[in-house]
Amino acid sequence: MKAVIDNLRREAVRLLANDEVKMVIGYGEGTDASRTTPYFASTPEQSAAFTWGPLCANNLAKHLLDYRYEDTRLAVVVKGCDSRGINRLLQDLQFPRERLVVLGVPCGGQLDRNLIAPEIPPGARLQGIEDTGKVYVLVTDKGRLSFPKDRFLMPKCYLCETNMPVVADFMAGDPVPSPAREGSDRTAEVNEIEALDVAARSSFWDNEFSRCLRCNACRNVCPACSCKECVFEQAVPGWQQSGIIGSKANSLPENMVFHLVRMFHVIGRCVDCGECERVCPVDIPLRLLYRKTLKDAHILYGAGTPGMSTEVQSPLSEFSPEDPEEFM
Amino acid sequence: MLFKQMMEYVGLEPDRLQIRWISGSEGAKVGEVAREMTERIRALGPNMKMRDVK
Amino acid sequence: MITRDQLATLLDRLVEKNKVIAPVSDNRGVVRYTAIRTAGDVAWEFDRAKVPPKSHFLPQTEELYCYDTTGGELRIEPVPAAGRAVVFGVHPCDLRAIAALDPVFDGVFKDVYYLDKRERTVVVGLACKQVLPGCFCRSYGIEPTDGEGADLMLTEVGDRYYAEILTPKGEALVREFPELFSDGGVEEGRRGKEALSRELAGQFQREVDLTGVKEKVDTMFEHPYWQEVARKCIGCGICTYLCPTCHCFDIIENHSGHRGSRLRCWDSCMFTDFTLHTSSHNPRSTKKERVRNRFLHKLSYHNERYGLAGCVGCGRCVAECPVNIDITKIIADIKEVD
Repeated sequence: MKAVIDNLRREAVRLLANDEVKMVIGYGEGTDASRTTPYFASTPEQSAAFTWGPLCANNLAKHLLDYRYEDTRLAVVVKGCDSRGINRLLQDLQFPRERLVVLGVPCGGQLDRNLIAPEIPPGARLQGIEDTGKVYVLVTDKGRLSFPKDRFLMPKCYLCETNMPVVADFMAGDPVPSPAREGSDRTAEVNEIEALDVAARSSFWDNEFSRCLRCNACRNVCPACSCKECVFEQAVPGWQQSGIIGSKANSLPENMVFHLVRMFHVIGRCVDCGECERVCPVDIPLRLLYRKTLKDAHILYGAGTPGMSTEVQSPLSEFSPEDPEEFM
Repeated sequence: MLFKQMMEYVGLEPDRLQIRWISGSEGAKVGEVAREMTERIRALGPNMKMRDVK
Repeated sequence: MITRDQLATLLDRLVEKNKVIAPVSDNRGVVRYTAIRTAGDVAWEFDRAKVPPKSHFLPQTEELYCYDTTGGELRIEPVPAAGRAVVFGVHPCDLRAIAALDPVFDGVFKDVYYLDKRERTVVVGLACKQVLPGCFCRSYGIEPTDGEGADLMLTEVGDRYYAEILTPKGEALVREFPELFSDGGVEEGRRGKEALSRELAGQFQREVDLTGVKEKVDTMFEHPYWQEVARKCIGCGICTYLCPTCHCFDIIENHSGHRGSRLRCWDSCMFTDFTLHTSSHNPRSTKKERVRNRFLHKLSYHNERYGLAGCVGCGRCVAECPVNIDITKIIADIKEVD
């Protein structure tokens, strides 16, 4: 872990000192021992604060969009799952390749903050993290805390598809074993929902959608949501709308529209990074929605997880005479 | 088809959605499809799930 | 004093004639203040509800009035006045937050919707039993056992609750059910509360020093520091929606045919369309302006307008921010930056 951090910092210093990039987007120390925060360095000196480890769940690819209309070159740190988001942004022409330096980090799995936070003594300061292979050890001023990887990782990590970046100009470390569980099935949970009868499925989602706060965190953190102006924020004053669809009103039908529209809009774009589910303050199992679209796009159009490469087109932006259809 | 499957997944009746490719010269087909669709929706009844519940 | 069983009976009896709002845990363990049907719905062991009780006084979506123009004539139907309600289990930080909201809705403009509910609602406070790692209410002069702002304040002492009547509304509530409360052991309850207060005071892990922060932040409007913070921000509404003192709203129309209603919905200064003008000009066009506004509101504007802090140290935004923007760090940074 230490070596990867050193490599990252060295590369960031080099890029900034040689003026190859204007800014490096990476991870910095968080305000408690259970997390990190996105960190932006614009000078070689600031690069000393970069960190990396199993507390870096954030997909930093999204931050690139803030700079898409500028002309500066940027570097961004990505894990395997995040790197698919980079490919998707490149494919959608949301960020030009020549203005981007991708710094890859090998990821052995991210710790689930909900699981580890209760185990961390209040007020503990993080001093370092060790990876013993099967266990992550958080070294704090209040003792060493062991988190076995088979119990404390984020659920998405056990289904990991690419723990090494699929696109990188620089790799900060050697490959590490994937945290994916042997024989894990990425569609298993979707299949469970599909197996329910209509009434049960309906009430399952009614319950989840009615819990939604409409805080937009899932949309705003999502690298697939790259629209300059979201359909839910189009400048139509309330009194001009024919209904309240797309308004800020919180009700079950409204919330359902929000989630269904988002679900449809991210088909072929959702890289399954799981950020939506991580940030949801009321724990809606959002990946269950998007995984369904991944599964169906695969069955109907043979589409793989988006962002695995920039060569494969999104299933909805390509037509083949063999596509199943029912609209003729 | 993806959208229909999504509707089914969250518990909406997929029959409420129909997409047809109709050329500008197929006026009769428009009428026919619209009639069929109307009958189907009548049979399904109002979509209570999306009724505003406030 | 009141026992847990008697308290449950009290809630059950209250439900008969009142809307009773209490912390309820949903199927995923998310606690928020919702109407209960029986005392059995209450999440007794909750630490901090994820969504604060402001949702009772300022619902996320609230109907202001309905209208009907059938036959070319406009008829407006006002929404019926709020009924009697009891909000149970409000912690001291949230009590203080309600106090911070009151002058907003009871100022030059009287907000009948808020004030109506406020007037007809009895607030039953509940002392904290623990201090969470993110709590810093103490920095705002709030003790986790403080009853200020409650009509009736409860503190769990042993297997009973020490009840303090703080307002005529609280007194009326106790008078309505005299058989459920007893005077026995009051002295013991008072001592228990003092002991709890001392114990909790030692548990705080987070403290901020607010000395000079308002004065300093008032000089920092053009400071590049806000750009630094804004880079992290993804512009979601978590911090504002979960904040017990945030109160911004947007008014929208919901109409179909000749009928319709006007709705007031929570809004967030973090959203891109928050200050968007009809002309398409937006005075807070980037995240920098939006983030700056949020912190200036919390640390300066609210103080200036109402003489009350705009933050109560509940720690919700700190716990839930997806990118770890932490107001305690912001406060510390403000003191540091040149």
